[in-house]
Amino acid sequence: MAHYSFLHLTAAALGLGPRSGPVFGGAVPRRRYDVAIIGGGGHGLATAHYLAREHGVSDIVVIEKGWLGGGNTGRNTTIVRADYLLPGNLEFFGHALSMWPDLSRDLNFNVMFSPRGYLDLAHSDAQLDLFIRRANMLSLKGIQARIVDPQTLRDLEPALDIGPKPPVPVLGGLVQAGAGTARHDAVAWGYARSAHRQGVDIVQNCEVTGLKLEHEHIVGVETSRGMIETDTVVVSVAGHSSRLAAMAGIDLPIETYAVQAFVSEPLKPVLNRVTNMNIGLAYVSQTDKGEIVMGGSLEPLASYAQRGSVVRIGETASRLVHLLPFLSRVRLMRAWGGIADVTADGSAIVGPTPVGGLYLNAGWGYSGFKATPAAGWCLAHTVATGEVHPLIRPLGLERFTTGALLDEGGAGPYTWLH
Amino acid sequence: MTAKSQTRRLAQGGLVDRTRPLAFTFNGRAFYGCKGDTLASALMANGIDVVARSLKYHRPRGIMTDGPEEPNAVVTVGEGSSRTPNLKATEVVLHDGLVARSQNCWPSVNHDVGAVAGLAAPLLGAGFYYKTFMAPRGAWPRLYERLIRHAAGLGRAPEGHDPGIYEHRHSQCDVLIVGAGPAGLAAARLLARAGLRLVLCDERSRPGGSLTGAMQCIDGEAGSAWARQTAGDIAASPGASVLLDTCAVWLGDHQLVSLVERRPGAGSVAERLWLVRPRQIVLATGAIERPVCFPGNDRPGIMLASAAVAYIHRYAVAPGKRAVIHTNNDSGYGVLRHLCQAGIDVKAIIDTRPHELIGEAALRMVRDVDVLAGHRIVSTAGRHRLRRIDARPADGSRRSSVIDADLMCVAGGWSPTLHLLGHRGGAMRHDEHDAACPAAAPGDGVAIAGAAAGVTGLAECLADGARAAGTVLQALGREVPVLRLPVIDAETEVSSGNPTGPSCRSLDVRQQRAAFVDLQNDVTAQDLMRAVDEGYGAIEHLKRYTTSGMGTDQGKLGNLMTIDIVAEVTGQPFEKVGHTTFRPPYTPVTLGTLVGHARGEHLFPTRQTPFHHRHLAEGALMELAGSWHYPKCYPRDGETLDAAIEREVRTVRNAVGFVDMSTLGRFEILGPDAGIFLERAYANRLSTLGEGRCRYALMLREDGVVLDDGTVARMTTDCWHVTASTAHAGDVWRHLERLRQVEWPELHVRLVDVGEQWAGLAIAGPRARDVLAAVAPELDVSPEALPFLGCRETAFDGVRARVFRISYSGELGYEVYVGARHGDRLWDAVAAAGTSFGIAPYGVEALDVMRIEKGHCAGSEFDGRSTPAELGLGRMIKRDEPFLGRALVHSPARQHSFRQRLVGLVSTDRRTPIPRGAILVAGTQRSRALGHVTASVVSPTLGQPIALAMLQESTSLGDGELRAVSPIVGLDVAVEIASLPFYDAEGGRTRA
Amino acid sequence: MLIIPCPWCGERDESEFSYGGPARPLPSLDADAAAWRRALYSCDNPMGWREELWFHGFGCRQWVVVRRHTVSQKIVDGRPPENPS
Repeated sequence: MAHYSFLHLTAAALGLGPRSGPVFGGAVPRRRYDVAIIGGGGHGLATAHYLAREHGVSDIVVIEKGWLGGGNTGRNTTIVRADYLLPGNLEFFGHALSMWPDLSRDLNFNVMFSPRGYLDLAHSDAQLDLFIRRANMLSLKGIQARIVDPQTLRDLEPALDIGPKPPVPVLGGLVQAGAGTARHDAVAWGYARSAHRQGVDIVQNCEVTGLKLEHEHIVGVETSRGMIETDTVVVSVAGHSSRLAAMAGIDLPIETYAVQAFVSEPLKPVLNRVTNMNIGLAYVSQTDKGEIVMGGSLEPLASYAQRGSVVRIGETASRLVHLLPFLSRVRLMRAWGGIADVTADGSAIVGPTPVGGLYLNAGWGYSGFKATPAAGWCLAHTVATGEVHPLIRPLGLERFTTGALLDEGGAGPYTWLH
Repeated sequence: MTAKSQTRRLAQGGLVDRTRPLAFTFNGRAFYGCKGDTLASALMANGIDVVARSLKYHRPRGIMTDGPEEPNAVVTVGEGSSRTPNLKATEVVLHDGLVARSQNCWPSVNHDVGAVAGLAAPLLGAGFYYKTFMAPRGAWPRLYERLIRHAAGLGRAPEGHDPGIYEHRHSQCDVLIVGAGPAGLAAARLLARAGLRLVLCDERSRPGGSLTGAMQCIDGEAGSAWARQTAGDIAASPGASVLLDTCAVWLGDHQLVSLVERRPGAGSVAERLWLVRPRQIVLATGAIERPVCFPGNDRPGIMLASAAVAYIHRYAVAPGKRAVIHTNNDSGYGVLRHLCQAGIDVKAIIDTRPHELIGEAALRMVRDVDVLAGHRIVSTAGRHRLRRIDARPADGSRRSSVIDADLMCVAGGWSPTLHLLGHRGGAMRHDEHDAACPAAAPGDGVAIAGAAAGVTGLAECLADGARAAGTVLQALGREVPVLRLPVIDAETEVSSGNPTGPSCRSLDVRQQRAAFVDLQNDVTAQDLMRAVDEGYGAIEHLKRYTTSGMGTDQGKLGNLMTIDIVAEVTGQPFEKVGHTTFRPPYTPVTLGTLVGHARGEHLFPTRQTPFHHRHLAEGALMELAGSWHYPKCYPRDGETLDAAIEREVRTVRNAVGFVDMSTLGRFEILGPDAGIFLERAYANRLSTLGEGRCRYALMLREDGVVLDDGTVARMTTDCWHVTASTAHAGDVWRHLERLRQVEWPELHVRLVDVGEQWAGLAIAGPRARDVLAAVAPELDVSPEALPFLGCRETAFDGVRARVFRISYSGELGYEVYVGARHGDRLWDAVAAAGTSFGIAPYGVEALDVMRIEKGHCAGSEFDGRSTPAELGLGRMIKRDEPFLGRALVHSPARQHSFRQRLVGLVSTDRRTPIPRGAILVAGTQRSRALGHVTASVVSPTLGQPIALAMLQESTSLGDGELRAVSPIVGLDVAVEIASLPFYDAEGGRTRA
Repeated sequence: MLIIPCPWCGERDESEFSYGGPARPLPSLDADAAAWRRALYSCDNPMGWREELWFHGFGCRQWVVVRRHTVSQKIVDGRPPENPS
């Protein structure tokens, strides 16, 4: 398979060089694999890529119900940041952020990671206190973050209307310079292409219908295209984690919720950075194509429907227009929904399960995209070595028994409040 | 004068008002149009060919359609703060003084430097950016991305505050009919006759849909006149409303349909969002004609055949002089007559089908025009407008027919407009004519009528509308009224537009670069084929990889061509290729419309306490606390914020002050089982509380974490008065009601939310008793009669009042409550009674300082993660009685390694302030956080910095000292643990 | 925005309600930590019909049990909590 470069592009334009051929293949699954990864999103594909490249495990099948990257990988607002507060999340997301700048070269596929910076706005003294504490925690761990005053926010993002704005002022903000966005689809395609180059079989349009267990150990995966024997299974199916875990008799502290996102028509560059506002929740950035990408909080009712309500889009839009008045005349072009796993403490669940050979990568809520490289990296390490990677130890399922919960929002055991 | 520039305006016909000229400018040049024009028709009337440039290659583009499906003619309208980019000229209703500009071009739309991108087109194929720009490290964001960002984007963003006014309206009705074309009108007139409450909407300014762009006669009058008359009759029916210029954009769950009403120049409201909740929906949304994919299919002058007809009949504009009709089905032949009528010279009909597949009726319509059957177009020419067409037989022979033409009417068949159905998650499939249709029945509450249901022909559509109305009436259990169907003048009926032959898949576009599938995003057939080759053959991959269908038209024209080409390249049936999901909204919607009035001060509802005007009169600096307007402090002339807060604290500590308590949650719990209920709901012992006594109380979540604190007072045996913190008032109310209604319905207890019924002031300070005595003369305020944690009901100035002797500040304190409407009198009485002591109101900042001095927990400690033991409140927890949260508050589950406890901190030197948001570390071991500062202040009372902090229980400092560090501001302060409270540890002042 | 059938007020807009999670009985207050953890940290999360609680806060202020489909969003029943279905 061709190595991508400007040269390759030029040669192809001139009709030289070999035809590129399918970059991730359309494999027919074999009977047996060392590892089966369920879910062809960014996380599952990254796990396959790192297993093959870092650990020499390439007898892998990635099983995708629909099309690669068709779940939350292709539905999120592409924000990459690492501004978590609690130890456990803090280190994990810090590591995740550090992997993004090299990802394109690593995969030989331009995922367009753009560290254009992230602004998190504080609207009250209490919020500002919390931001300061968070920035301090990040700094102590060597993760870049600083607190700036409203004037600096205005300099960083001139479109922001920061004044004494009743009812909600902006008192300052947390700035993370190395955070930004990436092209979400490209992450799935880049990992898929790289995994495929290393011999990983990628099977699309193949639904898992059952997990086969013997003596509390996984022995196979039943699919719509037949039985696949394997003694190692990674479940990486955001939104459907409960259903897959239930196939192995595991109850998860997870419920599924829809989250909406929406984009405007393309505009010439007007927003430099990713901005998050905390009047309720609303976040915004501008893609390289010029569209303004916007999102808000989850639809607060358990749902497997990949859609939401126009009224909630309006609520999110009202917050955005409050601080970015120009958006009032910008037009919404497309809205969509994804379904996210939300755990009973709001943090992810990654690692082994009580069932031997069954690993779980779930519960990312709407934080999954930025975690993609690190989740794949840590899970590959865990699967290949049998040792849980230190960065995901705090994210284990057992914390719901031990009580070492990671409740960033302090919202309690109510999934819909996270 | 006004007509002079309108060189393409026909002398007769059309629905525009030639007596009402409207002046407008386009790219700075002045033009005139007529009332009834869209910007597109006015530009066309003035002979403007190039309206816009395409996104990637900056190719000149004209007007292709007459509706929201327009991919090309996208412009910026308005100036200054009213400037709106990316409007489709076909959707912009012309008004006097309209200012429009081309976008994404420089220096002008006719001479655009950006067009050099076309030279690099071979390099810029689909997905090129995924394959390059990766080296050297960091070059993407610093160099390449910047270039791409500046090249991308269509119009420039609007600036400043939007002067527009937007509003929302809600409507409930029996039936919503979307589309006032023949089928929609036929359905609506029947439904109106049946007496239903109905809403009929149409995106255009005139009712009639296709009737306004044709010459058909109904009941002896012109179709457009019939439509106007019928719509008027419907609007006049009781309970019916007709909304024009109103587009249905979003079909949500439970039949919530969003309509956007655009009101150019009509009153103060610019746009209106209708949230309509009908019991039944009739989708009479018509069909969109499909283009055909061939090399050079994007030149100005190439347009949909139906659009050409509409420009002639609706706007009286001749879209060209010498025309070619290009079709793959019989409907293209119907266009011929309209073109001839407008004086357009039709040079040829180029049909992709072999002669034997062309319908007889279609051929009968052809007079004096060459039909090139079995031909495809291999190229077109013309720099700013179509000039020449080269067509060749599809069999591959080289015999070329070169035709001079400036207009090509493309008729590629019809796609029903069913986007709204896709919004509810319904998958789409393709029928035998390759037209998109819902994969399943549209489901309860939706009927599809007319062209949207694949019905063709005017008479058939009218009948189908009536049929759909019948279905709806049946579903609603109503009688179907007898109403004669309108009669069509047979001579005016034109052959249907049903595609009968192969569609564009017969075209060989394999190697053609300039055969565009998505015209706005410059996606070509070649792009699609390469993407399929590379493995992006899944229809959603193809869309994302090539950006086909991602433009502002959302692929209304291009999606079908995309599927067509994939079907051809992969050899799959149309059906197997699938369909990308139709996403809402149907056509772009201004964010301002979605926001409505929720902007500025009305961003969300806010609340004022009964003392609001007293706060303002006292010069309070107000801020929003949750949804409440609340005083931060009351700075006096020349006083800084800090000075005001300090003065207020001193006033309370040394004399007496008062503070508004009305924002607290406040509930009455009544009934014989109220004591049992509270005992279960709170973590500390309450049922032993005597009448006239109150107690600080703690409520836990099920998982043992503190949910809220408050006071519980027993007014009488069966009447308890309970408070909740301002921030959690709503949560606590829901929580208590849930416990009562869902978990313990067997208890005889009632809850009443009385928060808004009371106005409350806390009077605090050494002279508080004197003030209270003056305010409530009937009350025995002696410490014996009203001890600490006592409560009484009394009278204030003739009205009922409740007095609680509790203290948050740490001074002698009383909370006095009267009915909300008596608040002002209470305020004035307290202020008057305290004048001689120097009484002053204090705000939330002083309150916060004093609670830190007293070591009381507040929001920053109740962070949703802490248990009572961690907050130093463990001794409150009852051991014997069960209560909510007990199982987990005592379980080892909470004894994890992060377990913390609340401590007091002072800076070691007693001088340096402890930084807010600081992290606690031991000596130089800065990477290990041992805890954090939750609240920090320089205490005016103690004259030194103090702080509250959460510190890990197992902390052993070793030989290092404890430090509060704030690396982001470079602060590092040595601190010591101090016992809590900082102030009046024995509590003597409170109990005085 | 859904229409929720309140047994006391009739069909009302979702905006009048707040969501309260699945309708499942809590363990008794005497139950041990394991039982409470099971109740709080294992979720049914069905892809289909489920019973859940909604609080009609901007209406009758009653908690109601609603039967809703998590894919189609259809709602077939709204009843007071104390009446087992």
